[in-house]
Amino acid sequence: MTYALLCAAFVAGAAVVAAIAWRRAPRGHAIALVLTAVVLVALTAVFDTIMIATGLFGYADAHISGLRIGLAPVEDFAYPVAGLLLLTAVWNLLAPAAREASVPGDASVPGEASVPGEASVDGRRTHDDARD
Amino acid sequence: MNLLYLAALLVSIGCMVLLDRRFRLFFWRAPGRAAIVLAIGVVFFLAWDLAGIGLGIFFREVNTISTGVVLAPHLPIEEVVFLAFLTYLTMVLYTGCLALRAHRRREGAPS
Repeated sequence: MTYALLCAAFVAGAAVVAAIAWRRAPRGHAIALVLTAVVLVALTAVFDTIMIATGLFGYADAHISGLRIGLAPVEDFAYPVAGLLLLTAVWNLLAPAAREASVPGDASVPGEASVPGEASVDGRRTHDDARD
Repeated sequence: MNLLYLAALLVSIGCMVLLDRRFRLFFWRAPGRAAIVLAIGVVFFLAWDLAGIGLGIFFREVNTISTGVVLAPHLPIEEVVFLAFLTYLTMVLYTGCLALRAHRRREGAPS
């Protein structure tokens, strides 16, 4: 169980950062997370199995659950999932709060700038992919 | 001493660089921000690895495809390169999904 607990701690830490960053996420964030997770999990199943098969590293049986996908212990799948949560959160937290408001093609949203108090809240959510 | 694993990792990173450059996803989008995310990713995963090694959960095995150079007990130099690759791959996939969605919206939007 040691490995599962260790993974749970790192996933929990990453999840906290992801929750903090959620309101800074661009449009399409959730679907992008799901698609990326699916690809990363599939790649992990294949390449972790290859890496273990080539003898790069081994696991202490006493510390793992014993459940495996291919040769990969299920605990290993916590790495890509936690990484995805943490890294996308940091990426979005560091994004400029509101920009590209003066893109020429965006003249079709009159009145948006007339509510300065609200605009900053909206601007945060729509960075990066605001043009759609 | 064998460079096979390290070379495979570097080629894989090279592929990420090509995708990044072609579609302006990560370093070609915001270099400073990307560097910070990459650094945080490597440190985060390394801390996880070192904790696992310290707890005796996993260990490096003698094999025929890696250099044998270790940065710490049971921490081969290839692991750091792998963690950087995993971080880069994650961000290229994520930003790629967002870019694809934005592209489709622009193409499909009647406006």
